[in-house]
Amino acid sequence: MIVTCPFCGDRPSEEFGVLGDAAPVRPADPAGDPEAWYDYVYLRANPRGAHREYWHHVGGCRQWLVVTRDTTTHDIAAVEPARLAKQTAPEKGEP
Amino acid sequence: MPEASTDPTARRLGPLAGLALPERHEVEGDVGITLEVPGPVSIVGVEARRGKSVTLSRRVKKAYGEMPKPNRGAGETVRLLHVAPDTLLCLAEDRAEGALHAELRELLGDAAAVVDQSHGRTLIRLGGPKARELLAFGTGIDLAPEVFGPGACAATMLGHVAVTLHLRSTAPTFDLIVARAFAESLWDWLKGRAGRFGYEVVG
Ligand SMILES: [Zn+2]
Repeated sequence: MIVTCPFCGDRPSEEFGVLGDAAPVRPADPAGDPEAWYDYVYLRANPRGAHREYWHHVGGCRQWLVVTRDTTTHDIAAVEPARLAKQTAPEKGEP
Repeated sequence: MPEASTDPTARRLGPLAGLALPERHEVEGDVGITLEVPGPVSIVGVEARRGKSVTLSRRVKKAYGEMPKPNRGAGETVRLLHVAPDTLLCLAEDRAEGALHAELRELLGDAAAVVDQSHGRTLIRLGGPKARELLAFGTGIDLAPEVFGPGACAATMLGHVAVTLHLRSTAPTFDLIVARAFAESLWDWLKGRAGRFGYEVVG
């Protein structure tokens, strides 16, 4: 599986570490709603199809990336540096 | 005990000092690989502070003539490898202890983190007509000459060890920069795979 790092170019997936779901957004208030914190810390979507994930190019430029990958085919639709990627909160009702 | 030296670079005894000894192992009367551990080499990491990307490029260009493009190296006496966004690995040979670090701190200290890695990293020089073939055993990057040509550099994995590669010349001559603690392991890995091509360790 080849991941095209925006800085390094085509690299084998072995050079990357995968953190998973890039959707969760850290709640602003440290003392806020425990439900929101529980969701943020523990709950991750595991969809079939397109999925945005955090990947770390640990064996290369060491950037955090957001990779949009189809979980059934491994086709990669987009790779963006995480610092430039838009954080998207999970839609209501999403597991 | 070795005698104390007045040479300011003498303290930089690399991790391969007792291992990279001259030897020649021929296959059918020839060698396809040369290995060398030049020393001492000054190695300094530079990473721009937030919002200082342009300042870094401008000052590097003014001082050294060129800010290398991503995944490229530039410079003669001071070699600058653009290995990650806003990040340079800087190399110089035959400099006194701490001199390159001081020079870069002076130039960039307010705009970038400047860290002396001379004792933390080791440089291995790999050459010979089979150098690309040898590297291909251990890294996933495209080493075809039209893709990875002279001046190219890359942060990658080689035999599961993180290395920075720089192709210095078409000969080809690659410089491999590796963390000190992994230098011996990488050295063994290189020699192990060089055996089939024949190799010479240059003193
Ligand atoms: Zn990368």
